Amino acid sequence: MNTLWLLIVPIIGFLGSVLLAGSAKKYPAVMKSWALIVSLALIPLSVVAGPSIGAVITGPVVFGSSLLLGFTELSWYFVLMIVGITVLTIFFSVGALRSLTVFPLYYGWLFLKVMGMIAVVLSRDLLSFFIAWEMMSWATFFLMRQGGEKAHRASMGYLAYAVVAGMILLAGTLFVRNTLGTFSFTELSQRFGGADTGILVVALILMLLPMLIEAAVYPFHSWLPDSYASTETSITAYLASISTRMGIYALTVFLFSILGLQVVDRIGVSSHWNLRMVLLVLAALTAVLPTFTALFQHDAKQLITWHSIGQGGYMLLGLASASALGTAGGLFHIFNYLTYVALIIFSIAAVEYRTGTTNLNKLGGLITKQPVAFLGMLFGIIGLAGIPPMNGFVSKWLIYRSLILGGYPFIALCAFLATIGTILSVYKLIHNTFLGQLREEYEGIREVGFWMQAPIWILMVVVLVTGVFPGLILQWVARIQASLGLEVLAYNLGGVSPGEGNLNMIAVIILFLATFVAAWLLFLTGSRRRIVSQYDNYAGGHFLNKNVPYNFNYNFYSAFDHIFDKQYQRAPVKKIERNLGRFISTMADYTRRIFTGQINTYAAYGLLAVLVVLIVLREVL
Amino acid sequence: MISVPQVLYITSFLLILIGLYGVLTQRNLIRIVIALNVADSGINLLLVTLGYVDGGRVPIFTPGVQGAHMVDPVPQALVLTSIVIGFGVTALMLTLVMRIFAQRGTIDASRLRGLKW
Amino acid sequence: MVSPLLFIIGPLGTAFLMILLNRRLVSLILALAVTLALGILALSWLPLTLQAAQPMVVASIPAPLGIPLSLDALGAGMAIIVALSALLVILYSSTYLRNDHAPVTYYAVVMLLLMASFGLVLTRDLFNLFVFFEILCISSYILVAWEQNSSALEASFKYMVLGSIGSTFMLVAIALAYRAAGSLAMADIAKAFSQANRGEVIVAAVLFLFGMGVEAAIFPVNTWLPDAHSSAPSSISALLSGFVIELSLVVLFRLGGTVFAQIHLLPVLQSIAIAGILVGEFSAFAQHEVKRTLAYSSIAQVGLMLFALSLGSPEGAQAGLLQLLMHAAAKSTLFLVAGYFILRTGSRFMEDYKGLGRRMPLSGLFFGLAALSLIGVPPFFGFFTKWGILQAAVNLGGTIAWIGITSILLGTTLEAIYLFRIFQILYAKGENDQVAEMEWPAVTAVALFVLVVVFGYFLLPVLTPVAGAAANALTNLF
Repeated sequence: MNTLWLLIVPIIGFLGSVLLAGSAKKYPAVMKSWALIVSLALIPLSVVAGPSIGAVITGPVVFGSSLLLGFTELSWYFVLMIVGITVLTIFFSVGALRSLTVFPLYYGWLFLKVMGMIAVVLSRDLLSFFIAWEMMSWATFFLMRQGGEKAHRASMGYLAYAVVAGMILLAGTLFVRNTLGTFSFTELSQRFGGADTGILVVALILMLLPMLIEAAVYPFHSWLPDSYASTETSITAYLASISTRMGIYALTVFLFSILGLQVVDRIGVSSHWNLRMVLLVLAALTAVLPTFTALFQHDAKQLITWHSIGQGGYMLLGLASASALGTAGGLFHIFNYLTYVALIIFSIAAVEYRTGTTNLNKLGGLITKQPVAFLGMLFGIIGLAGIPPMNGFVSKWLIYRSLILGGYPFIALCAFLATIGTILSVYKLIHNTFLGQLREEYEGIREVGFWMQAPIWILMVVVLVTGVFPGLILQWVARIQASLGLEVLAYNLGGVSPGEGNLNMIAVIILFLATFVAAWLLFLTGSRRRIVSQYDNYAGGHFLNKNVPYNFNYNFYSAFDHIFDKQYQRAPVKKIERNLGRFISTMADYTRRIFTGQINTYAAYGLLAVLVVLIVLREVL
Repeated sequence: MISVPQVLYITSFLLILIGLYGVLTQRNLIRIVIALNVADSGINLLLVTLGYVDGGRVPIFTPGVQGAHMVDPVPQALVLTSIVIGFGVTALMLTLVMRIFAQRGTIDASRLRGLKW
Repeated sequence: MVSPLLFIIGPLGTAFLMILLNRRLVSLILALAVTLALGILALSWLPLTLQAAQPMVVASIPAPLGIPLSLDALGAGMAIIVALSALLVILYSSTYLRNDHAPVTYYAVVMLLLMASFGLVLTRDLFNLFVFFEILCISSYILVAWEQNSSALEASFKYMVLGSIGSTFMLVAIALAYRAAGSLAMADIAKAFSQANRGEVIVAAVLFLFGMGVEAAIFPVNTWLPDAHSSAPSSISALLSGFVIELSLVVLFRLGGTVFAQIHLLPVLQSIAIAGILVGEFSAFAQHEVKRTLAYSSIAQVGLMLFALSLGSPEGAQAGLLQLLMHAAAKSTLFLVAGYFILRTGSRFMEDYKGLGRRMPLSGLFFGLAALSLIGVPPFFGFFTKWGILQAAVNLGGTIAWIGITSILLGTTLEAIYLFRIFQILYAKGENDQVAEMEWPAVTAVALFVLVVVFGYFLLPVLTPVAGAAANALTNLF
C-alpha cells in the first residue's frame, strides 16, 4: 500500500495546485504552503517504502494485461532521490519565485512530473512503463514551459524529441509483446534468454533509442541545453538533476534487470566489439563533446546544462563497463551529480535573484556579497570536477578505474579529457560569477534569504559527508548491484575495500584537513592583512576607475574560440536536426499541394482511384 | 442482331462516360452541372434498362388483365427517386453557381481556387 | 418499447414543424428535445440489441415486400453517438449562431441531417441506403454553404460535384448489385455476390467503395473535406467531422461486408487508409488556419479508423469503433472551441490567437485536453483507442500492417507538434485586453464532450461489449 501512496500524494498535490491556481496570483503563500506540505509528506512515505521491496501490486487490467507495479532496490534509490530533490527545489522556489502571477500552475506541473517519474520507477511491466513514461514526458513538457517566450520555443524542441522517443518506445513495446508474448519484466527476462539474436537486436534498438534520447546521449542531446536553460532556474536545477537520469534508470533496468548481463554480452561481433562497446563509445562522445561546448557558453545556465549532458555520459560509461567498480561508479554518480548540479544551479539562481542576470559577461566579484552562494558553488564544482574530498571524486575514481581495468584505454582517455573540459568550464562559471572585480551596480547586493539558503547548506553538507563517508551511499549501490545480478562492490564506510582497488576517503580527508590546518597555521604566522577597496590599486599607468572592468572576465576562453571556432562550432548534430525539420516542412508543403483547389482535378482523382484499384485487383486476382 | 436492351446499355454507359468526361474537362461551372445531369440521365437509363423484361407490360395492375408478364417495377421506382434527387441537387448547384457569380463575378473553375492546399 | 421508427419520423416531422411555426426559440427547444429523446430511445434499445438485431416492420408490410429496417448493436451505438453529439452541438449553436440570418431553417436542416444519419444506421436495403445517403449529402451541402460567403460557396460547390460523382458511382454499383441479386436487400445481395462472377463483384465493390467513400472522406476522394469543414460554421464542422464522415465509413463497411469478403480488397483498403493518414498529417502540418488544420487532421483520423476496420479482425473493428467515439468527442471539442476563437478575434489564422488561452481559460483548457486525447497521451481516452488499433495491427502482422503502424506513429508525432504549436500560441504573451469566454451553453456542450475524452477509460467496461457486438456486425462476413 505504501507504494501506491507515493503515486497518490503527488496527484493530490497536482489537483490541489489546479484548484488553488486561481488564488495563486493574489495569495501566493497559500500555493507555496500547499506545495511544501505535499512535498514534506512525500518524505516519510518514501522512507517507509523501503521494506516493500519485492512486493508487486497488480493494477487495473488494460487490454487484457494487468499493470504491475513494484518496488526494487533501484526503485527505492531513485524514489529517495526524486523526493529529496523535489523537497529541496520546492523549498528553494518558495524563496526564488517572487510571485506566481506568471506561473500559477508551477507546482502543479512539478507534482505531475513527480508522479510520472515515480510511476516509471515503480513499473514492473512494459505497458505501465510506457504509460508512465509518456505521462512523465508530457508533464516535463508542461513544466519546461514555465519561463516565458524563450521557454515556450525551447520546450517545443523537447516535445519533438520526446514524442519521437515515445513513439519508438511504443513500437518497441508492441514488437516485444508480439514476439515474446508478454509485458511483464520478470517474464521477459526469462524469455529474452531464449530469444534469437535477430529479435534481440530489433527489440534492443527500439527500446534503447528512446532511453538514450531521454538521457541525452550523443547524438540525441541537442534538445537539452535550450530547453533546460530557458526555463525558470529552480526548474533548471530540478530537470538537470533528475529528469535526464530517468533515461539512465530505464537503461539500467532494461539492460541488467530484463536482459541480464549474459544476454547483453551475446549481442555483438566479438567479445570486445559488442553492444557494451557501442554504448561505451556513445557515452565517451557524450562525455567529451558537449563538455567542451560548455566552454563557449556565456550564459551560466547554458554552460551548466551543456555540462549535464556530459555527466550523463559518465554515468553511462560506468554502467556500460559492467564491472563491479563501473556499475557502482555509474550508480553512485547519479546521486553525486544530482547533489552538486542542484547545488551549482541553486547558486546560479541565488545570484540571478539578486542581480537579475545569468550572463557571465556581466557578473563578477560577488564573493564578498553572496558568500553562501559562493561556497555552494565552490562545493559543487569541486564535486563536479571530481576533486577530493567531495563525493564526485569517489564516483569518478570508480569509473576511471573500471575503464582502465576493463581494458578500455581509449575510452578512459576520453573520460580524462572530459574531466579537463569539466574543470575548465566550471572554473569559468565560478570565476566569472564570484571572483574578480565587483561591478558597481552590484555594490548593494545582500545574500539570499532562508528559503534559498537552506537547500544550499543542506546540499553542501550532503556533498561533503558522502564524499568523506561514501560507504553510506555505497551500501545502497551494493544492494542494487546484487538485485540486478551484477558483481557487487566491496565497500566500507570510508571507501572501497582492498582487493578491488584501494580508496579510503577517511584517510584522504584526514590528510586534507591536516594539510589545511597546516596551511592555516602558516597563514596565521604571517603578517597582518590589510583589507583595501578593490579600486585602491594602480595598473597600466592609471589609478583604477569604477567604470572599467579590469579583470579577465569578459569572453573568458576567447582563446579557445579562436582555436576551435571553425571545426567545432559547426555543430553537426544541430545541423542535422535543422535539416530534418526543414525536410519535414518541405514534405508537408508538397503533400498539401495534392489539394489543388480545382474541381476538375478533384474529379480526376476520383476516377483515377477507381481505375487504379480495378487494375490492381484484376492483377492480384 | 443487337437487341434493344444492348443498345440501351451501350447508350447509358456512353452517357455516363460523357458526363464524367465533362466534369473532368469543363471549366465553366454550368457546363459541369450539365455534365453531371448527363451522367445522371445515363444512370437512370441504365437502371430502367436493367428492369426490362422481354415483351413485358407496364407494371401496373389493371382490371381485367390477370397475371400478366410485367417489367420489373423496382428499378423504375429507384429511377424515380434518382430523378427527383438529381433534380434537387441540380437546383441546389445552380443556386450556388448563381451566388458564386454574384460574389466573384466569374464561373470559371480555374479561377475559383480561393481555397486550396 | 417505443418503435425505432421514431428515429426517422421524429426528426423529419420536427423539421417540418419548425418550418411551419417559424419561431427561433421554439425550434431550438424542439431540436434539443428531439435529440435528447432520441438519445434516450437509443439507450433504451441498446441492451436488447446486444443480444440480437431487432428488425422493424414498417406500415405493417412484412418482409420480403416491406422496407427492411433493423436495429442492431452497431446501429444503436451509432445512434447514441449521433444523438448525443447533435444535442451538444445544438446546445452550442444556440449562442454561437445567435445572430444568424435563418436560424429556423438551420435547425430544420440539422434535423434532416439527423434523420438521414439515423436512417443510414437502420437501413438494410440499398434503396433506403441510397435515399438516406442522398438526404445526408444534400443537408450537408446546404449546411456547408450556410454562411454564404465566397469560401463557403466555393467549398460547397466542390463538395457537391464530388458528391454527385460519388452518387453516380454508387448508382452504377447498385445497378450491378440488383442485376446479380434480383433484389435490393443487403442480405440477398450478400448471398448473390458470394456466387457471382468475380469481375462483377470487383467492379461493384470498387464503385461502392469510392461512391460512399466520397462522403466517408477516404483518400483520394477526400479533397472536398478541408475546404468544406473549414468554411462551414463551426458547429457544422463539429457535426460533419464528428459523426457524418465516420457514419458513412461504418455504413460502407456494413455494405462492404457483402462484397469485400470475397475479393482481396482488405489490403487495398489498408493502403488507402495509410495514404490517408500520411497525407492528412503532413498537410495539416503545413497549415496556418486553425480550422483547416483540424479538417486535415480529420482526414488522417478517418484514415486511422479505416485502417482499423480494414484489418479484418473483430478486435481491429472494435478498436476502430472506440476510436470513432473518441474522435467524435475530441474533434467536436476542438472545432467548437476554434469556433469561439474565430468569433472572438475575427481571424481564422493561428498567429492571431496569441495569448488567447490566457484570456479564455476554459477554452484553452478544453483545447489542450482534447488535443492530448487526439494525440493519444495516457491516461486519456485516445491512448487506449490508439493502442487498441496498434495492437490489432500487430496481431495481424504482415508488411502492410507494420507500414501502417509506422505511419500511425509518424502521424502521431506530427499531430503532437502541430496541435501543440497552436497550444503554445494560445498561451504565449499576447495582448491583455479582456476577451469574453464562451457563453455557458457552449461551455456546457464542450465540457460534456471533454468529459468523454478525459474519463473515457472509465467508460471502457461499458463500451467494450457494445463495441464488440458492433464489431461482429461489421466483420462476421469477413
